[in-house]
Amino acid sequence: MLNLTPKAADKVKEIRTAEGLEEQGLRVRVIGGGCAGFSYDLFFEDETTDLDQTFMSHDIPIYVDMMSAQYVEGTEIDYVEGLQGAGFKFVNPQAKQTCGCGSSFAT
Amino acid sequence: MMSIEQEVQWLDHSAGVRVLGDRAMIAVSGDDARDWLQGQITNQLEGAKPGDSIYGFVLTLKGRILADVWVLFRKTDVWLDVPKLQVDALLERLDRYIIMEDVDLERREDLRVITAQGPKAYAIDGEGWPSDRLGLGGRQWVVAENDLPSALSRIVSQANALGGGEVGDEAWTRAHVLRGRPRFGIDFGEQTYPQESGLTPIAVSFEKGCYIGQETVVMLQNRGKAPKVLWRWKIDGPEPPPAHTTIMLGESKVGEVTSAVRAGAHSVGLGYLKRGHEPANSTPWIIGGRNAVPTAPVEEALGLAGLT
Repeated sequence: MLNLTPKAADKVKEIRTAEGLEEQGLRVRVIGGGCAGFSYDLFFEDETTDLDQTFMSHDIPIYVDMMSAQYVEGTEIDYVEGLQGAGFKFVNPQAKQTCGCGSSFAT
Repeated sequence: MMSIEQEVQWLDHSAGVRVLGDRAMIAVSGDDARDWLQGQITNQLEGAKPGDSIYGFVLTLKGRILADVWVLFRKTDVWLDVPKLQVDALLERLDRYIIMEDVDLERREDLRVITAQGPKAYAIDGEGWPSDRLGLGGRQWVVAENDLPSALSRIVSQANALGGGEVGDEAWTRAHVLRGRPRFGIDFGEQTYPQESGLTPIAVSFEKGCYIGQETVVMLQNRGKAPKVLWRWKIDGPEPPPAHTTIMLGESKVGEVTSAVRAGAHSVGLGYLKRGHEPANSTPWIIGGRNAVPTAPVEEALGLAGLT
C-alpha cells in the first residue's frame, strides 16, 4: 500500500492539470543509485503492465511495479515547502537511512 | 633478459607492455546500462563515446572504495576492468542495485587485459582504449584468452619498434611507487576513502550528482577531514621497508608504509599519514629505524615526474 497526503495529492492534481495529463496516473518507481543506494522516481503514466500494482489515493491512481513495490510498501508521499525549496517527500518505513536531500534511501 | 632499470625506462620514456593478471572483466549490457552505471561510479560517465575509457571507483554505502574501475565504452555495451579479487563482491554489490532497470551483468572470464604505458604507448595500434595508469599516457586492449599470446606478441613488437618492450612484476611495481601511483589491493582498498588514496583528481567528479557513497565523499571534501592521507616518502638507505612498517614522528606512531622500492642510494615509498600529523616542523620522521621525509601527498604529486 502506498498513499499520498492531501497536500501531495493536491499538488499532483495541479501539475497533472497544468500539463494536460488529467487521465493519467502517477508512476512510482525505485531505481538503483543515489547517494544511499536506491532512488525514487515519480512521473505520470497512462499504461500499466501485468507486473504493476495499482493503488488509489485521493482519486489518483498510483502504479508501482512489483520489484519497486517491495521497497516502498507502506510509504506515504507528502509535499513540503520551505525556504530551501519545495518537493515531494517520501516517508518510507523501510528506509533505514536516507541521504541529506531525501531523494535516496537504503534498506 | 632486460634489467629492471631498463624496463622502468621503457615505462618512463617509450612504452612498457604488460598483461594485467590482477584485473578481470565484467560486461554491463542492456538499454539502461549507461544511465544505471552513472549512479554507481564516482566519475562522470555522461558524454562518453565508444572507444572512450573513464577511471573511477565503486564505493560502499559508507563511502569506502570497494574497487577501482576502468569503464571501457563499446558500441553495444560497457566493459568494466576491475580488480580480480573483487569480482564476486562487485557483482553482488552491483546486482543489488538493479531493480527494474534493463541491465545485465556478466563475468567475462574469457577476457584478458593487456596495457602499454609510457609516452609512446599511444602509437601502438589495434582497437583499444586510452588507459593512463602511470601519468605518462597509456592504452589498453581486451583480448580473448585464446588470442592472448598472438595479441601480446603483436603489441610487444610494436613497443620494441618504439624503443620499449614487455615489463615484469618488479619494474611495474617500481614504476608505480616512483611515480606515486597507488594500486588497489596494495596501497588502498576496502578500508580506504577516496580522499585518503589521493586519487580523487582522476577518479571522482564533484559535479556529476548522486552515486552510491557520494554523501561521505562530498562531506570529506568540503570539511577536509580524511582520517589519513597517502603520502610519498623518501627514506634513507637503499633497502626498502616492507609494507606495514610503522611511520614514527618522534615517539608517536603516525602512519604506515604501503609499498616501497629502492631508488639509487635511498628508498622511495608510499605510506599513510594520520590526520593532524602533516609535516610542519623539523621533528625527525622515522621509518624502520631510518630517517625519512614526506615529500608530497599523492594527490598533489599526480602527474609529476618520479622521485629518484
